[in-house]
Amino acid sequence: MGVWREAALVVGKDLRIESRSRVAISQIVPFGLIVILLFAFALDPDRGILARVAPGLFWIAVLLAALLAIGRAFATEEQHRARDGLRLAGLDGGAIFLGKAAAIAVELLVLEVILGAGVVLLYDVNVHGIGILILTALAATIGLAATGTLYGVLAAGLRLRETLLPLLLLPVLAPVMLGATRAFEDGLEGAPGDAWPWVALLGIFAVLYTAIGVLAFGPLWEET
Amino acid sequence: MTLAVHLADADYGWVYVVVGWSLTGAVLAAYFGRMALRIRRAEKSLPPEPER
Amino acid sequence: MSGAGATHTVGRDRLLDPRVSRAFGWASLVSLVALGLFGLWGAPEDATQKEAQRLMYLHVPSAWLAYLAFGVTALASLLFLWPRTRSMVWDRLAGASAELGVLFTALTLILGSLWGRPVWGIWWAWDARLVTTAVLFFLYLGYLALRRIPTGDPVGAGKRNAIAALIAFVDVPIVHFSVEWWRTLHQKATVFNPQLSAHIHGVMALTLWIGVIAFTILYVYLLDRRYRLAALEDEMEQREVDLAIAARVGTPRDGGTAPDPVEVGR
Repeated sequence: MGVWREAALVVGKDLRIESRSRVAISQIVPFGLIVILLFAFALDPDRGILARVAPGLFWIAVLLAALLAIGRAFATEEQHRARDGLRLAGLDGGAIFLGKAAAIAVELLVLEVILGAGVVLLYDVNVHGIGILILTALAATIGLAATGTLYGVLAAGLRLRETLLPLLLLPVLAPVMLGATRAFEDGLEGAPGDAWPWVALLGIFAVLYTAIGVLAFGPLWEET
Repeated sequence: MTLAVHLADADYGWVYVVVGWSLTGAVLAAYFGRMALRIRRAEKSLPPEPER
Repeated sequence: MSGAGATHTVGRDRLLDPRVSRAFGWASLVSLVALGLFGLWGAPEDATQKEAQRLMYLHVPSAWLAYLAFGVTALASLLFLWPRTRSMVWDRLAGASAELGVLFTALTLILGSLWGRPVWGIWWAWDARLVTTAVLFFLYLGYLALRRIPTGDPVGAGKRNAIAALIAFVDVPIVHFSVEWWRTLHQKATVFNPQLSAHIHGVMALTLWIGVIAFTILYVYLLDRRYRLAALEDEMEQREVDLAIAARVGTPRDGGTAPDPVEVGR
C-alpha cells in the first residue's frame, strides 16, 4: 500500500475518532474561545489595544489550543493498545506521521476559523486581505501540526508528558509565532505584499519539519 | 530594585562588574564543587574497574 | 565499543585519561585567574562604557561556550543515531555537553543583562542575538527535562534524546534569522549592540582572547568531569539491575514492564 494511501487511512481514523468523541469541538475550541475572552479582561478593550494586538492574541490562543489537540492525538493511541494495533498493521512510520499531522492540521484549521471569527467580532478587527490570511494560516498550521506531531510522539508514553510537551514544543515554534503574527498584521493592514516573505518563512518551516517528521517518526514510534 | 535604577549611570558600572564576576565565580565553583562531590561519592560506592 | 555490546555495558567510562583531565583542570584554573587579572585590572576601562566593559570579558566567552557546547551535543547526537557509530558514549556526551550549554547560556543572558543596564540603560533588548539566546536556553532546558525521564530502554531513550537535540539545533538558525528580519523590518536601530565593535584592540582584545581560551579549557575539563559522573551513574544503575536480576533469577519482575506478548516481527 502506498504511503499516501496509508496516511489517508490514518487521517480518516483520527478524524473519525474525533467525530465520534467530539473532544476537539466540545472542549478544545471552547478553550480557545475562553482564552480569547480572557485576553479582553487582561487588556482593557476600551484602550483600543485589542484590535492592534489581535493577530498576536489569536495565534497565542491557537498555540495553546494546539498543545491540547496534540496531547489528545497521542492519548487516543494509548487506549486499548491501539499503539500495538497500529504497529501490527505494518504501516510505514512516515505514513503514520503524515496521517496524524494531517488530522491535527484539519482540527487546527477548524479551530482557527472559529477563533478568527471570535477575534473579528470581539476585538472589532477590520479584515482586508483575507486571501493572505488564509495562506498564512495554512502554512503556519502545517508547520504547527508537523512539529507538534513530531514532539507528540517524542513525548508519547512518557511520564510527565503533559508538562513536558509544552516545554519542548513552544520554543521550537517561536519562528511560526513570529511569522504568522507579522503576516497577519500585514494582511489586516491591507499591505499583503509585506506578508509574502513571512509566508515563505512559514512555508520553509513547514516543509523542513514535515521532512524531519517523516524521517524520525518511525524510529520514535517504535520506541514508545 | 530602585538601587539598580539609580545606578544606570555608567559611572556606577563597577557595581555591575562586581556582581557579574562574583556571580560567575560562584556559579562555576558551585557547579564544579557539587559535581566533584557526586563523583567522589559514586566512585567510593563502586569498586574500582571491574573486569568485564 | 560497537554493536550490541555497547548498549549493555557502560562502555568508555571517562572521556580523558585521568592525568590529562587533571592537567586540564589546573590549566583552566590558571587561565581563569589570568582572565581575572587581565579582565578586572590589566585591561583599561573603556572610554564610553567605563568599568562596565569588564563584563564583556565574561559575557562573550560564555556565549561562545554555549554555542560550542550545543554544537557538540548535536554532533554527538548524530553519531549516536548513525548505526555504525552508535554507542552510549555519545548519548552521555550529548547530555553532559547540553547541561554545560544550558548553564553557560543562562550565564550569558544574566551577564548580558548586567552589562546592558549600566551601558545602555536597559536590562533587555529585542534583538536577534539576545532573543535567539533566550530561545536556545528554553530549547535545551526542555531537552534536559526529556533526558531526566527514566525509561527502561537506554538505546530507545538515546534515540529519542538524539532526535530531540537535533530538532532543537535545526531550529536555532531559523529563530535567529526570523528575529533578525523582524527587527530590521521594523527599523528599530539596534542601539544595543553587545558584540564587539571593530575597534577592540590592544589589551582589551588580548583579554577577550584569554577569556575565550580559558573558557574553552574549562569546558573540556567540565565536560570530562560531567561525562565521568554520567558514566558512574550508568554504572550504578547497571549494578542495581544486575542485582535485581540475580535476586530473582529466571522470574520476570512483577509490577514492572512485563515482556510484550505481541512480538512484532522486525
